[in-house]
Amino acid sequence: MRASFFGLETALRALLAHQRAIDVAGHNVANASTDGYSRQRVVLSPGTAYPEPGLWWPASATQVGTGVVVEDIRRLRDSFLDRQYCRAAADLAEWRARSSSLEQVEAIWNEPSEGGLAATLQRFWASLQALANDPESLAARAAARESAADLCLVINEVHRRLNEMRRSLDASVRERVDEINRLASEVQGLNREILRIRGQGGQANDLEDRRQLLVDRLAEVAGARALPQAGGSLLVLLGSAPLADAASWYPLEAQDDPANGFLARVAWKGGGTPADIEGGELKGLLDLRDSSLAAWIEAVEDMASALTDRLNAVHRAGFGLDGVDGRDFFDPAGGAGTMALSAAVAQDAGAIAASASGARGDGSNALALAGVRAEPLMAGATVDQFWAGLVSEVGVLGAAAEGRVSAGELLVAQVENQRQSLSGVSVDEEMVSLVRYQHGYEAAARLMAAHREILAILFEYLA
Amino acid sequence: MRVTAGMLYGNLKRDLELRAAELWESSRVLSTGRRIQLPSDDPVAANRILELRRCLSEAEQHLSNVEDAQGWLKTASVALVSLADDLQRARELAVQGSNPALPQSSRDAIAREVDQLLSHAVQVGNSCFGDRYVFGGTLTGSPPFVLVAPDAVVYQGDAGDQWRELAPGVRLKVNLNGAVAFLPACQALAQVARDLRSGDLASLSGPTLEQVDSALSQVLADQTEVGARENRLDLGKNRLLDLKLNLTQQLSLAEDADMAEALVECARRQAAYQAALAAAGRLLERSLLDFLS
Repeated sequence: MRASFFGLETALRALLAHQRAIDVAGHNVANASTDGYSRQRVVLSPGTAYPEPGLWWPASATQVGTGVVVEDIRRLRDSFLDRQYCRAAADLAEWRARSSSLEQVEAIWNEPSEGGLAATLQRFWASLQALANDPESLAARAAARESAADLCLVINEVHRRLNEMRRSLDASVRERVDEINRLASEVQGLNREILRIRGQGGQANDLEDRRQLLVDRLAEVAGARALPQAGGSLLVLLGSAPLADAASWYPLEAQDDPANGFLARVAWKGGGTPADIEGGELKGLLDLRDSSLAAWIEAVEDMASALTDRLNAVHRAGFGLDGVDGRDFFDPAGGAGTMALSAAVAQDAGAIAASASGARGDGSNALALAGVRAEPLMAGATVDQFWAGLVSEVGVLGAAAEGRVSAGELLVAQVENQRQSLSGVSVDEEMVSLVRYQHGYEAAARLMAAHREILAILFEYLA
Repeated sequence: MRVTAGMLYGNLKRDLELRAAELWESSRVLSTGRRIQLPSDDPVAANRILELRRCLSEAEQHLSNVEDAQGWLKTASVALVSLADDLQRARELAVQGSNPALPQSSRDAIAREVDQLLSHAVQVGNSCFGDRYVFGGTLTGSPPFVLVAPDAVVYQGDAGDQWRELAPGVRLKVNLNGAVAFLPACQALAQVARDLRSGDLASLSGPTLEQVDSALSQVLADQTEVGARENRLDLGKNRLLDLKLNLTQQLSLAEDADMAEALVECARRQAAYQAALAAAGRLLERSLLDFLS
């Protein structure tokens, strides 16, 4: 026996369902350009049929459909692709950080160019030879003194800028630690919300999108990994230690490390255990700050002190124009960063000990000073060769890093394309859906009109 | 594969960035004329460039040293020729003066000419290269020979050496010891004058003449020595000029961009960039929205 208002309910359900479908399509269209948004699809399914025994089916009850229900608003996302993306993004961010830092070091080296240390050294050696040719010429002495002062300037500048860069990398590290803490706390909040909503049987699509965006950034910054947990929360790990889960988040701290010039050490707050940064920008920055830059600063210092020590030793054996020997060329207390001419030479270019015999016209000590150029002061290499080696080392590292960045960019682009292919909004597609659901709505409205007419006839004749 | 607008825009953006970056790189090569802007562009070549520049600067300095040395030796060579002339003339005068038939007054006159020769020899001994006295050893600031009396010369220089570096570790002595090259000649001339004035004919035609002869052979020996050194310098200079040319060529090969190649590459990259822009323009034009009424 059919209920009188049975069809109305079916029509109503159809109207509502199609409205909801249009809403979801509208949500997708609105978020077509939103970062990290995954498209949502309405899942329609037939309502529960109910069995109707009756006049026409003597043998058994038949199922009568009751219209449509919106079963689910499903988010289209592949967590495997997300994990792949995190790994690729972490790798790319690490190499980008390295590459850009190495470019900065190359700018500090300033080679090959006329202002670089190599050219400055060459001018220095040449001026000493010119002095040897004419030791009594005040012009030659002034030129030698100027080129020595220039040498000090360039070495000091390189040293200063390397140290500055180290400090600036340190500041970036501290900034990143703050960012990680912010992200971790937000992820934990989202985890809690998502768990709650899911627990009630709902879908937390947009929250999950936001959470994944944050996790992507955490991967870029620190190489964090995310593991899905039961109930819908994500456990974010840094190395093997938890950064954020549903219950809480664990803050990091940038501790001043006295063993490393009071630069920041990234550790877990409270215990002080160092954090295991496996990748991401942080790893690149820390590596460059602590291994590479520290080594290069030391190399420049060693080079400067070896040069000044040897030149001073040769200089002390010689005589100035005034016949006085035992003077230093460079200030023995100065190293890279504070390298300077000795007070005597700075005041009077005549103090440069060009003479080996004491006679004013003898330039053989200047020749000996110029000869330091060919001496293997740096573990078998001359100063010129050592410097060229340093420049080359950075060049090789820089070229390698650029290569890794290019490869990394391709990989990230590929994974992102795959993600977009699955989860991205295609406006064309949504337009088609819109048209389709619009027609569905129209049809449902027509159905509603048909039922109204039927009921109108009933009331007319029964009134 | 399902292609969304996000993918299209993302890829377009990335490709445009890549083409623009390549174009920028190419324009830098053109505007600086250098193949390598940073060591990371080509680390091996960068190392080579530094090495070549180092060698080139060394070669240029050595060339300058060689030219300085040539100047010294030329001055010495000219001075020695002059000295030889003076000694020859003095010899003639000595022989002339040793003629017993000559009156003392004539000998005095000859002696006066010999005085002139002596003072000329002293002048020549005080030759300068620039503002340095070439025969003073390492005391180049003041004249090494002083005429303390019309017939007495004192050497005030020292026995030091002047070295010039022609190549790494290779040095050439460019000066002559004035005490050996000039002093005996001056002393011989002085002796001739004294003998003429004193009328000591035996000495004049004997030991004094031998003194003059031995001074002459010393000058000859010195001239040979200077000539040999000048030859060595010429060879050195040629070698350095060749080296410099070679190094400059190699440096250019390593460092400079081939302009023709760079221009073509730049044009190609420009075309690629424009093609990417055109593709972007087409793709971004239409969507289904244009066709739904």
